[in-house]
Amino acid sequence: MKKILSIAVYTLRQNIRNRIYYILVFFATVLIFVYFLLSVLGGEESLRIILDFGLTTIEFFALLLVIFSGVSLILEEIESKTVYLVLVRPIPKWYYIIGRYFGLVLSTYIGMIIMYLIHCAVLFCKGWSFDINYLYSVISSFMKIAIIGSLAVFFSLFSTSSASSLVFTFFLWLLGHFTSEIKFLIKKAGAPLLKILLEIFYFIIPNLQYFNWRDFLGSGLAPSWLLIAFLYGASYCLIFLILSIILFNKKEF
Amino acid sequence: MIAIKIENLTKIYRRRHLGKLYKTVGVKNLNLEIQEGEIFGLLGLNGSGKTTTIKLILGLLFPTEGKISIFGKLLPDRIVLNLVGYLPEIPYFHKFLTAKEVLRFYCNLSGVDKSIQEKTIDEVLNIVNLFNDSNKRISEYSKGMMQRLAIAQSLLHNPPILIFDELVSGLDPLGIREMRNFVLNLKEKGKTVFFSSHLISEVEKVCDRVGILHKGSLLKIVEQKDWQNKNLEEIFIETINTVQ
Amino acid sequence: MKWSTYFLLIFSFCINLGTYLYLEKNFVYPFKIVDISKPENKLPVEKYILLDLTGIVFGVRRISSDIAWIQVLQYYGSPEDENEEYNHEHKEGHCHHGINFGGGKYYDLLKLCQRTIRLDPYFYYAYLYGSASLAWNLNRDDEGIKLLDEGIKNCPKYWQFYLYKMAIIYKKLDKYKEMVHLLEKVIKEQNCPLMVKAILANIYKRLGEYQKSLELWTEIYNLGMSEYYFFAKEQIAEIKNLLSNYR
Repeated sequence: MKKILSIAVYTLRQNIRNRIYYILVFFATVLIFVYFLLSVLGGEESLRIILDFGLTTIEFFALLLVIFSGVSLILEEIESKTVYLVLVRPIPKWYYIIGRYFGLVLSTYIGMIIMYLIHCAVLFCKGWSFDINYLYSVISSFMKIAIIGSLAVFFSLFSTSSASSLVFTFFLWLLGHFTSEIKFLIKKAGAPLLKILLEIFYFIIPNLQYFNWRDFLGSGLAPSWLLIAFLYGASYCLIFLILSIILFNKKEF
Repeated sequence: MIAIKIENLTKIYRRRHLGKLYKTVGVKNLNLEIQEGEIFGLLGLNGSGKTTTIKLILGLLFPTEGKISIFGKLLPDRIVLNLVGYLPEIPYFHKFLTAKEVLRFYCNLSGVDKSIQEKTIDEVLNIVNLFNDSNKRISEYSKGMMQRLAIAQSLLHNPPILIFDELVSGLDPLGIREMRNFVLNLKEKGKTVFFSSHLISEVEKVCDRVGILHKGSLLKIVEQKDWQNKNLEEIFIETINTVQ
Repeated sequence: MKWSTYFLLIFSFCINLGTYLYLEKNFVYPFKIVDISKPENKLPVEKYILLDLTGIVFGVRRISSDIAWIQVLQYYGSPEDENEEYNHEHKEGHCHHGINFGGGKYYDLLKLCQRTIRLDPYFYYAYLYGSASLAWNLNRDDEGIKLLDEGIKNCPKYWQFYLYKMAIIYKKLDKYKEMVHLLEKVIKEQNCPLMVKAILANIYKRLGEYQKSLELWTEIYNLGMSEYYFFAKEQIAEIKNLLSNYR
């Protein structure tokens, strides 16, 4: 565990010291203040504007952070041969994957927490009172980022090209939000073979709608299924991390 | 005791391109034993298989055939890597970290006890003359400093075997001399040093034995007494020419 | 690959499958999925169809709805034709939209409000503000009722829709007393649009209930800076004048 933590901390340091990280966090923070000014366009619903725009912006910037860092996380170290000095140490190779993944997710979470704190401060200035749904939105976004992070790592090892990994991961992000519509298409599908293929496809893509709580804020939806959804997300991450480890173990350097 | 034993080691690189399979021989039927406490040099032209041999020992490549053992333990064995210190040909470190952070990281991975980590790091930094620059970011380091840092990381866990790939690659004459003295110093401490090089002049100054590698095959093992009578360069060229 | 890795992979897969099956049964997606190829389900504002679908695909329905709402306010808050004088009763001088006139026609107001609430059917304020504007400012009671009917269909438990609908029906039937009674209930709710308070204050003034109108305008004025702040100040002065003349 200590060695995995060591790799995670090393990854965290690496990400946090990256200029892109600062730029994205800074830019998102600036945007939150901009929403504060623009919220007046929403009339009496200005608080809602700040809330929605802020939550979405933070999630979107976290997505950019995790995808761009995730696809280059291991690939960059392989290409620069920095990975050699880690792999010649007496650690199982899977420590490296898990440690890098945790470092990636942790560094993204730190950026998100900074942005959420600023967002809350802006909301409180506008007279907002804390709502448990905000916390559910935050935790759900964290889970989304964890899933996308695991996919980014997997695709970076699967395709060995940063560009294609980026595209695949982003595409799955989109499809993950489109799952309800895909389900609707399955019902509409005529041919049984097409239906089965769509069902398999629907099962494979991560259903990110389970973690889209920020979109369900006004719906009065009860969070009774949230815990199971997190279990779903965690198992999804684990599957792709194990597949990443399998790919990494087969790699030669 | 035999530090490294290589038996019938073969590595064939397979690459598929447009449906066609291309095979390249990395090493072929390599048999080699490196004794504990000796300095063994692997000499060969570019592309002869030196780096391939080293990577196979370290587990960075998987052999097509054959066996490798370190102190009698058959590879692959991740734990036995604790007995090996590795210096890559061109060392790469993360530019955002300082030297101390890098060494602390490798100490953790090598299982160096937390209570002696700082002491160990300071010791190795002193050995390689990097103590005063240890808190600088690696992005500010020169090539020579990176090389010294790479040596430092290979010594952290006090391994009995040190494997260096292209020992003096890219070093200036002063750097080469420092490296030479360092290797001789290691021998005095009873370490086993296995390194690859294509600089014959350096190899003959430090090695106890030299293996001549050509196109993946170990052609000859030359002992120190042999090149004291005849120039190692001549032996090397003769050996290569005989095959060609 | 070690057997432990296989085991862990299969175990994770089983957990994933189990949770997937549970969620398929128990997770109710809060938004209705409709076949947009059918004419009755077509999104109301053609020029924004692509934008709206993008919002749905990217999983940002609420924020798309917010943008749509900002566009409603910008549409309704801008003069229809800057050179045209509004053809309605109002005093000479400054014209404040959405209060006792909402002036002009704003033919697309219903469609724009529908666009907003179809992106986020739980945007209650949009229904309330939209229906109140359509009914009391633009005198298009049926459009106001149509918007509220959609709200009742989407959120049948949100009782305020029924209240607003009843108030509009009373207006249609010229049953002002009953309408006022309902509006008095409505303005006590936390999320009541300020515009509805202004509408009621204006209705009181028209019905000659100057004291009640003054109280409401004072309440609006005391809320601080809002789009009705300066108008409320004017109305307070005017009603005080009317009251003193009356006495």
